[in-house]
Amino acid sequence: MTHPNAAHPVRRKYAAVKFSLIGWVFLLPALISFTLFKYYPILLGIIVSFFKVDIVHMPGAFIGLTNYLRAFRDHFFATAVWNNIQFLLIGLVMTFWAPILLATLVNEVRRGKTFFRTMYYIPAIAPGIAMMVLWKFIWQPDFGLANFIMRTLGLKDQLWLNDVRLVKWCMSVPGLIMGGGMNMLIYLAALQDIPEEQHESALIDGAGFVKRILRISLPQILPIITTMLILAVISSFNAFDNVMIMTNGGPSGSTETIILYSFKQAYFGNNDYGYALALSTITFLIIFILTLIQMSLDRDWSVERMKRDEKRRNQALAQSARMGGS
Amino acid sequence: MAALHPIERKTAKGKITYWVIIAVLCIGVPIQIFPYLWMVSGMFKSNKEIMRAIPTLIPAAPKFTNIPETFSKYNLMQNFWNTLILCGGTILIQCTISILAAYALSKLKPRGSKFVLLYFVGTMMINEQAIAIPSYLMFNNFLGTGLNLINNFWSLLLAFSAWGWSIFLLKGFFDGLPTDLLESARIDGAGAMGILLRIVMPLSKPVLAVITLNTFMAVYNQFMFPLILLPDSSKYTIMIRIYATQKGAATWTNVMVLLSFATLPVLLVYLFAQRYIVQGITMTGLKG
Repeated sequence: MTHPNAAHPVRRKYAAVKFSLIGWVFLLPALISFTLFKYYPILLGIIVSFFKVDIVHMPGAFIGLTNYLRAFRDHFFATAVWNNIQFLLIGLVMTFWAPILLATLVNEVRRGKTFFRTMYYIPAIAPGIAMMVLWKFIWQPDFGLANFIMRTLGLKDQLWLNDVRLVKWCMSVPGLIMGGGMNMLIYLAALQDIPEEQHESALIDGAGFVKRILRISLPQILPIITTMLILAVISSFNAFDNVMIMTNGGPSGSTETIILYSFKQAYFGNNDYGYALALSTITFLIIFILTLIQMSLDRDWSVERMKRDEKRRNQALAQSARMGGS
Repeated sequence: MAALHPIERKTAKGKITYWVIIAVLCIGVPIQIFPYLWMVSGMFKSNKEIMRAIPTLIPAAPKFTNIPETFSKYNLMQNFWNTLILCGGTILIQCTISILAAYALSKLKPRGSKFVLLYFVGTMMINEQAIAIPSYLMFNNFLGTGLNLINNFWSLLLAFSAWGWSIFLLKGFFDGLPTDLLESARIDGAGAMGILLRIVMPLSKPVLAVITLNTFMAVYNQFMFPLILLPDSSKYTIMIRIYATQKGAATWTNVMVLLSFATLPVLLVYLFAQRYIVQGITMTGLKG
């Protein structure tokens, strides 16, 4: 680091210490905030999971691993875990591939790319909660749109969200529209980075359009697909909003997720915070490990690429800033 | 780049492929938009019409009184106001904290701060669902002081003040700013704060917009934290109001008004600032 007083060792040292001090002062609010509102709660959660919590006299009586042992014997918890896994698998079948396909198609458009990108993205920005309620209305068995369409097609009415077999499938449909637009943008950005020469040389070798997509485009964006896959696993283990709003865990516990079950242990008059936190700590551990895997995968493939991209994007941003483009 | 080569598009096969793609995309657009039309149309229907077995897309007799009725019945202005306070407050607090920290990490680089970025970004591994209930326990008796911050906006503002994503994004951007410029300002005698306010911030307008908008979206859409930390109905945010209303014995017309008006602010923000939101997603490949 060069400094105006570089010539003078004593003054340089003084200035460095001064800037170092200011640096730490600037870091202090963030250090406090991250410690208090991220690390402290997660530690508190882990600690409290070993207690029979008394909210007035925190934390209450120490009971060791009792809450965890209880979880392993609790068949409601086992059902919740299995539901989470089913949600994940159904999500992969129903929604995961859609943004990849969509991005591949939009990427081919020569004129009007922005139009399609916007049309597919706008629905994704609507508040998730509002969309879940809207879909609850669409699936409503008596006067919902879904049954009207079934009748128009000459098919039998269904109970949709009240049907144990159908409910998970119905709940993943909104994700097709909501998550689709968002993830499409990420895939699209990656597809646009593929150099044209690669497609050109494959074309000369006589590879058809579909073959080029499968052999060139997909392998290039495979690292992103892997990342998205892990993110999908993470979000399915975190499922709370959608089940709380659309079904509250029903019918007969078929959409009870780990987080929802944990939430119910703490509230609705149960006040069993210790058990609730033992359950959410289990999800935290699962997600923590998955995130670690995701981050290490990310690093393997993308350090070089990210450095290059970041530099380019920052340059572009800085340039638009200089031109007053805000 | 596109897989379909310009030369290939001159051939019959290429042309067909191209137009099939366009056709598929065109079919998808109405499907994508339809649920929203359905929501808006439900807003103007009468209670009877919305429950008819054969639904109508265009209301037979548009009932505009649904809107003021819903607003007064559920005290919606209060909910919007609460949401606005939380969004505005979080933007102020969280962004200030993040800017200061990112600037320190990127440009001031105090001794021993190498691992601090990791400390911040590491919180992205903590799922908010796991810290929601502990946060409730913490704010119930804030740091053992006996202070109860449940049903107090401060609990949410503080809980949202830490966001690793935003420090990560800002630091990356600040790293790209030319150091020479900052050095010359320092030679002219500007302090660390002066450089931040007069040089770094004006240069960072685009990334600040990205951070602000994404913070707004994140807070606006929050569900679990306000549900747990602000359980009193006078403190409901819009999203909690939607949840509470549709769970109760509300009529669907009221719910549709609620949903439409809850979507409106996001839509407006998006129309005016779509560039920045899209940048936020593509810059990090993360939704925050």
